[in-house]
Amino acid sequence: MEADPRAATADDELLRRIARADAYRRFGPLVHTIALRSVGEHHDAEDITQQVFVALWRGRESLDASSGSLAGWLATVTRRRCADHHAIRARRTRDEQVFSREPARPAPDPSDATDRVLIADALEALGDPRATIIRMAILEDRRQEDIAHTLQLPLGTVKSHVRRGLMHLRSRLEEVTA
Amino acid sequence: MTHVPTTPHEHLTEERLVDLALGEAASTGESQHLRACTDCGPLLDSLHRTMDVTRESSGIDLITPPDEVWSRIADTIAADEVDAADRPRAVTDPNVVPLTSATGARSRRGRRPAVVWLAAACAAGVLLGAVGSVVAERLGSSGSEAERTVATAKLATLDTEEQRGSATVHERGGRLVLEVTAPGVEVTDGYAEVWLINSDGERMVSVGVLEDSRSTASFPISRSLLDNGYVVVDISREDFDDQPQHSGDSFVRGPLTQES
Repeated sequence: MEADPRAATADDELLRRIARADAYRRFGPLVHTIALRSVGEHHDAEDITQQVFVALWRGRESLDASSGSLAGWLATVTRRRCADHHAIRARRTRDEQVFSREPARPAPDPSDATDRVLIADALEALGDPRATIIRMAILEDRRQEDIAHTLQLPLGTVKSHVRRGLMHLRSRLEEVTA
Repeated sequence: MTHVPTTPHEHLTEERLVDLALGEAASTGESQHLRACTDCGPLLDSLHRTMDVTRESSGIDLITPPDEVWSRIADTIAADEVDAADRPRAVTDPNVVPLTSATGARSRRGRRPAVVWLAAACAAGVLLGAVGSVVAERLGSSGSEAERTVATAKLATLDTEEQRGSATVHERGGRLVLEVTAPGVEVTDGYAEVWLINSDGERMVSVGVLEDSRSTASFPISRSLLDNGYVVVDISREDFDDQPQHSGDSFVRGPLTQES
């Protein structure tokens, strides 16, 4: 019998456990909120959240760090799980209609909030003052000069925050695929 | 062909594109460039889209999942690890080979199951079963011929390795039955067909059609199939077409492992 592989990799294992818990703490709300908004039901959303993180763990070796952020990967996987969920539900509904001989109604469009939730999460993660500056520039539609004046910051600094913040949000969005 | 007048060759800077996205007016030259350039135009469009989504996201509160979700994830992962560490060697060497991979000569790994199965068959003193035999009538027919579980398989998706079903080989009155249940397999069109794939990854036999993945289906199989290495259970997605062979599109798959 070989040495217990669990003992030999105890340190690695500990590090992995920590990384795993961190990823969940950081991105659990992102995944869960996308699922909740898509499937609309707590129990199903919790199942999807669980599936996504188990998939993350099982697929960790095939994850390509260069292909985008973890947030983008998780959001994409969550969106697909939700789509599967809707497809199954639509099929059941269709079957019920077929057998009850009622006129078929088109399944309601699942609301896909993936992009919005991802941006809400990414904006929050920008930290201050960048998040505040982006909110002022985009949500309140304020001019950069006005923001600089209000926050008592040089215009160049504000412009730099707006540019970097916006480019960052843009790249998050680009990572999410259908 | 019309000549395009003085389109600036230089790309717009990121700073300038952000300013334009925020509402500054583009000059004539910039507008021309944005229409012609396959880099700058789409980048400005994507900045506009980012701003739209950001506006739409303003009412969204992120909701932390309840604590028990993490407990369930941790339990599942821990179970995976225990599985991986405790699995005997024969199973750690999976017999599952992609259908497309051309494994010319049969490997030692490919032969082993046949030997194992042969040994099991001898030990049990059973005769070879016949394909297509009716099994149901033998059920519970004799107390001395009680049902015995010969092997089991977990059926998992090929890409995400998610378990979506299971298969069991039972022995009843000297005959073998493959029982398949795959509640996680959703057949949206076509139908699901059950196969036994040889451990050489090349040969396979169809054992029947899975009519309802949510209930358990039984298929009579022969001992010789197992003896000859057909030990991987596969459920494929098939279209109603004139092609009887495996579509190459598997819902789930899993190697049979012997019950100890």
